[in-house]
Amino acid sequence: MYSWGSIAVMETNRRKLLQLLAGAPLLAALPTPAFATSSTGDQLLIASAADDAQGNHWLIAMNEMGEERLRHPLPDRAHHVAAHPNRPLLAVVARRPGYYIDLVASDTGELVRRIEPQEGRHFYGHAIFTPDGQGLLATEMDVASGQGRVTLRSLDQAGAPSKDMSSGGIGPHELLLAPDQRTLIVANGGILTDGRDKLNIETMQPSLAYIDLESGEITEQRFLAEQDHQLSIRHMDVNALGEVIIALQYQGDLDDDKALVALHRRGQQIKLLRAPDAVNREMTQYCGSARFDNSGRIAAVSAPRGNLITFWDMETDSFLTSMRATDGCGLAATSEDASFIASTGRGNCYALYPLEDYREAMMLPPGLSSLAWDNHMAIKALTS
Amino acid sequence: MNRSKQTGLIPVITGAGAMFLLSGVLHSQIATANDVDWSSYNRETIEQDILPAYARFAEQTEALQSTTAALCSAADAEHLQQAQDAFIAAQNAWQGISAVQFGPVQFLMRNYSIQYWPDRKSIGRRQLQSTLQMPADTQFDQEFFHQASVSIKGFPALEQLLFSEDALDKLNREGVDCRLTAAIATNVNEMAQGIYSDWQSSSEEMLSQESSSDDDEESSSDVPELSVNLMKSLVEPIELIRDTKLLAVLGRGAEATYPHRAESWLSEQSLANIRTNLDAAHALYTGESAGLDQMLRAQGHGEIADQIEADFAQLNKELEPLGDSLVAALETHYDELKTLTASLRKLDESLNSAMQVLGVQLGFNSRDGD
Repeated sequence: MYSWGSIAVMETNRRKLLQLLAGAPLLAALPTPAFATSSTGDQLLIASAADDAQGNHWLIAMNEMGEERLRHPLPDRAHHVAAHPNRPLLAVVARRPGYYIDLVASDTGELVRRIEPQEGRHFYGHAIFTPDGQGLLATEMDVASGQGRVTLRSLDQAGAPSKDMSSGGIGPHELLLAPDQRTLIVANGGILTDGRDKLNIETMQPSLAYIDLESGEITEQRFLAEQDHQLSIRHMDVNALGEVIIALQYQGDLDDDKALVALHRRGQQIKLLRAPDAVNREMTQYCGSARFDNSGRIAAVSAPRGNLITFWDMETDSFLTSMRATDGCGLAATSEDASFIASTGRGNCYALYPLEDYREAMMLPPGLSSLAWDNHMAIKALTS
Repeated sequence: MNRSKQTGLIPVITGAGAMFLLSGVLHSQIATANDVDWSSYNRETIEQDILPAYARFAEQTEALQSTTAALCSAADAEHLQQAQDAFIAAQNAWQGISAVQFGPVQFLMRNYSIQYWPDRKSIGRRQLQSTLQMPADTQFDQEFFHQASVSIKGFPALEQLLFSEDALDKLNREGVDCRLTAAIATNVNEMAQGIYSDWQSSSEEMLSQESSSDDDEESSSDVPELSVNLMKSLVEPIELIRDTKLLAVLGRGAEATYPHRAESWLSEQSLANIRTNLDAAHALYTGESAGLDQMLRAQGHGEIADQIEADFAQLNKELEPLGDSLVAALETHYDELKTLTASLRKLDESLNSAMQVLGVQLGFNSRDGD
């Protein structure tokens, strides 16, 4: 059962609405000071790391109107942003090899705490808050052994992590919490790195690991078939049924034409999902980010090098459609079914409605449209 | 069971779409008017740089096709020399437009097929060796190239066939060598003709798409996608030249170089390629009336325009005494090559300053990823 029925074209005429709005003189005349609070209050907070044209790195947050709400300077390029489940708090994680995670108050812009890895460790670009909001889980590399780790830190206590578990492989990247709220899902990319150099492309063994958060034990681990071992498992999302959609990155020959998306259901093998040939080629062997929509039935997988966002149907385990977004990587689901927001390295943000084949550019002020949005986006509903 | 996320992060908010629209209306009023004439820039750049460069590439590959065909009918030193000369001219023409990595050159992976490089794992060499073992009656037709590895469809494979020390012996032996050489040349020519004619037939459409204002494809910034792609073709290759064409070869010191990582090292054209790349970049930068140089000056950024011109001139000056072969220069001019990489960095910085003042976000490098 899905929260919406069949895949049918939804009848919304946004173009017409746009024309109506554009014709409204009162609205058109309204000024938009950058930090004004709209009378109804913000409904969404959209957060992402970004670089500006000068090469500075920022954590940026804006509301659904494209009004800037936060601009926090970062010491180095960042990757993932996580939103706290019940506090106005964001965690922004340094790009791998990463040496900071900043906890930033999204309402005041204050840097609450900068977490640094322990000696001999670095972060791998992703972290998530625990469901109770008390802790932060992060993927790390133990440099000496080359092995992946997942650590748990209390938000309120500095110092060593309270838990330090094996990730089950090399190069752990994105991590998620399963719907049971006690199982961690970790994408072990499989690539041994020195800085950003890749050392083991010929022998890499990516995997998807399910780890019991309490005991640290791996309860299920899935590898790809031998001929697909160079498909790095790095980014993914999980829906309420526990289905995991995976965005793959191929490390093998440029000639090869491998499936670049995969799906996993507990107890089964990882299932590769292939786009139609022309689309698969266009994806250029590289997917950057994966997110389910609000219903959990449609998955969006970005292919930034191919300038495409692809969409997949979990009911039929198959490709639905694709939409163009130049250098588009960051993805987030809106509260509407079959609707996403995508961000790009060229400063654009789009609302995407794949079932209607409709893309709407968020009109951002120059201060935001001149940014290169980094790979991942977080979206948080504000209840005020 | 419902698939909805249980995180509670995204409760139902109606009208999110309408909010975006509203924001669009509001922001369009305050967006700073950018008086840069991007459509003239696009038109001028395509008509005066892109189309002529592809025309030249198509012309040179046609000559390459005919000289390799002639070589196969009489594989002697004179015909080999002619084929080598034609190869160098065609490769040079490619280097004059290889910076453009969008549009028709992407169709059917033509960009990779024309020149599969860098090839750290020597895939091209291995693929070529196994192809050369094929039976003497193998047909190198369209079907063959459809199936073949991209690594043997273009210049790197041709270079090995035409420039290895025993090329003439091999071309004369009872094998597929000569027919394969001619077939690859034909294939390169077909790709070049295809790209040129695709650009001719689609450029008007590309240009008109960019000027239509009521378009969902319109980006939120003021700079049209086509302009960004053109400027990316100017800026991005500078870093590639520095990192991949030079620093990767220069290694960790004069005693620890990697000569065989050099592009076109067999035909001894590595530095000639770079010279051509920079000439092409300079041409992309300067226009007749609507180029970036004019734009910068019109916007009051003459100092950046002057700096860019000075950077290009400096690179020209530094490249001049180094000859065409990077492998040879590694031995005799290592320090000068290091200096060259520093000058490339400077040009890269100047071009990025130009992008900044023009309000252009080029985005991440196309090789960026994590």
